[in-house]
Amino acid sequence: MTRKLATALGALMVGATPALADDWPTQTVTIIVPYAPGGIADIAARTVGDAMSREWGQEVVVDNRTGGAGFVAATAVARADPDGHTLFVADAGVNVVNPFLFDDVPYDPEADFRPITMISDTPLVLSANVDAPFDTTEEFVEYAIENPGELSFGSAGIGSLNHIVPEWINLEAGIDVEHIPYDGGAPAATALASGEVEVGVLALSSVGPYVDSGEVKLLGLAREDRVGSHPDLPTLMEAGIDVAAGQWAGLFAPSAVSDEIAEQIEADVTAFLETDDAAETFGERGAIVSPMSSSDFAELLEELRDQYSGVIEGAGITPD
Amino acid sequence: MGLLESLQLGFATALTMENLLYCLLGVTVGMVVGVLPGVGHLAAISLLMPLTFHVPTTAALVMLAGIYYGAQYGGSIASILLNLPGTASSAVLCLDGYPMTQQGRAGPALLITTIASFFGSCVAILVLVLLAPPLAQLALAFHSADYFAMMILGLVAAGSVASGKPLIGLASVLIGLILALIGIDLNTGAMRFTFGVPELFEGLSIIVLAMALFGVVEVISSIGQPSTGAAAKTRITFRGLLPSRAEFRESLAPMLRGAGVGTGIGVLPGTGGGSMASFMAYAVEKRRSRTPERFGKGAIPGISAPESANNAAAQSAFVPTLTLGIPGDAIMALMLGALLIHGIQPGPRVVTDSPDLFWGLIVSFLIGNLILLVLNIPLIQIWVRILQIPYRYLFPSIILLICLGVYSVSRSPVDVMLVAGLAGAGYLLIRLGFDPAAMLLGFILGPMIEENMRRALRVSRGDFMIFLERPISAGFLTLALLMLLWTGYTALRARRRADAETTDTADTEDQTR
Repeated sequence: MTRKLATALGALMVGATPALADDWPTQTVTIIVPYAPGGIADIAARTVGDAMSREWGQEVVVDNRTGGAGFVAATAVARADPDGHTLFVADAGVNVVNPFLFDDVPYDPEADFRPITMISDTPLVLSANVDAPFDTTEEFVEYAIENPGELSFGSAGIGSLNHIVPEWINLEAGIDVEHIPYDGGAPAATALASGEVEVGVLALSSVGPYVDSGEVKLLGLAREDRVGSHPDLPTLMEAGIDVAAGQWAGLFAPSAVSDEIAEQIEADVTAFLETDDAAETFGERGAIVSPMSSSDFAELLEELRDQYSGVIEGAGITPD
Repeated sequence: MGLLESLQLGFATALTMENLLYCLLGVTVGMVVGVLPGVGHLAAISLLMPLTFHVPTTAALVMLAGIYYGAQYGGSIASILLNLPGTASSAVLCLDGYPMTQQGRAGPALLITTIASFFGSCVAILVLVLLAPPLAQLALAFHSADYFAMMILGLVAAGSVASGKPLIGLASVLIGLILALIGIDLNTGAMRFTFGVPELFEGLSIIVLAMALFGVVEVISSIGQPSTGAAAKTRITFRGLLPSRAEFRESLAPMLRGAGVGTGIGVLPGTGGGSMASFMAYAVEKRRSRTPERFGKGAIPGISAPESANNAAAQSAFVPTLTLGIPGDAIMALMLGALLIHGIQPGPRVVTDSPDLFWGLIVSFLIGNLILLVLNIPLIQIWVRILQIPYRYLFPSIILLICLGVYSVSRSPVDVMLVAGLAGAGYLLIRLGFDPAAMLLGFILGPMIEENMRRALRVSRGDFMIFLERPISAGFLTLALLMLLWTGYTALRARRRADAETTDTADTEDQTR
């Protein structure tokens, strides 16, 4: 712990943090999470919160406001005092996809929140039931072209990344794999293992156990680069499909937060995420720490909004 | 690893001082919060979960699990004494447990359910020990079509839960089905009956519905009745707690069947945990009984079977949670979260990868259940005294507890208002003769039937033959058909016999209902 503190402090001193907001934080900092405890967004918030309560000398608590496709949590943050004592850990679903999916979204992810940094990224992987008659991404595309309408993919629900990314693959590769929604990522992984669906683009961590038990095989990684834990697994891009999307969790603040405070949070949190401890904690849970400067994160969000809205429109994903 | 070695590892893990203490803490907290109407245990688990961040994984899980099954013991107490389901899965206990209290037999009812809880848990633990690894594989054999067929069999079997007239029973199930439609439709993402209220996107919570239909409605109906009714008749001596020998003998077979039903339903993922198991066990007993008319009026099998099933399911539900990562209900979902927080990825290999966690947990179930049995029996005399509290103090406290309990689930004031609204509507419907148990049943089964049927048809691209081509599904549907035919046949025969006798008695019976 001392080592962690020392690293964090070191990074702080070296890092370019011009003006520290001396009087912040003056009270408990609350990180609102739109999901139940145990999901990667919650774990990200807790891990960061734990480190920051030591760093800031103020308690950092995680508040799980589940429900309403993230509407409840997001509106709470959007309406909170922008004094930096209320922060938000959100994912692509809540802060990118929702406005393209639902008609009446009571918040505006672009205008209401200021991106601070990405925290973690869980790779998504195109995987298939072990009995499926293809072993690589290329063979899968070939099979889908030869047997139109025969294959199905499982997802964690309408509008989840496990739904959007395969539709994106459909558009890119010109194939038509049918969507079968399940109630969450684990039931989707089970359906893949049981052979009810032939393929799925699911979190590497949720298909991992079935790969070990020999019921599921991995075809390709939906990511720009290969990952250290699976160096032999090629990316979809290597197979000629221009699709990359991760299941990330990022840190946000209400948009009216002062620059000083936002910059201090960014510096402290990214410094922690760069430690070995953080890498290990997230690694154990199948995620990759992804500290990112606030401007890079904002740029990435911009890009994702473009990409996902295109896919959602192109594939005709609508809730009604 | 052999069975004996596994058990040895389990005992070695569960009997460490640390794990024993966490087990004791968990079951005690669970039992106490389970007694409180509302969802005390869900609140307790969500409050304690962040603390477990700093506790070793096995100890954390042992404690959270203890709260979970401890609450199953406590949950039946409020159902029996006050017609208030402490947990959603003990709602069925109201049907025959509360009439027993009204007849002054609260003590025996509580003792029987305590024994049934222990018995059901032990059977399920035994099955887990012997069969856990193959059970995990069972779920992989089930596709959506098979779940659909199983639920249809469940619906047919449970038709008998409704008492009174079949048509109004059917109407009650339909009301439950309609309430279950509220929320985002899983298959299309369409909003159904949400009226733009984000709190309704994920649908009504079963806890809200159970609290409204059983708890609040009971309070409304009891107001104005003399407050000493049940208490005066209840004997609070230790002898008064003992069930008669006949009552005890009558419970044995139902407990065993209940344990079987509960274990079977518990191991299948996504079947809603204990509430479905206890309903099914009740339905099985009522259907098997030679005197089904006694059910709903204080029949002993009507409490022993569902209580045994409910506890069996509470234990066996750990199989899908640990091996597939699919929780049976909201509380299991939190336990799953605790597992993930500690970096343990649930999966088919969790038994082989973390044997100390798995076997330690199972042995801790056994220890926890023993503790609960020892804790519960002397406490029964104290619980029964609740009945002596005058209604003018008791009712406001119950309403307050319900509000707190419901609010604690998702900290949503909307849920509390919903309880008020549903209770008002429920009171009217129940006075008109609608059946609250049947509404709850429709609410539990409806979404599972719909979701799985539509998913199966999507997989088959609209071909209904999928339900007959899969052997598991075809088997369940055949059973359901046979059961329907048998019911029709017996009903017809009974009517003929009734017609042959005097028609007068039938008329008077209709009027008294």
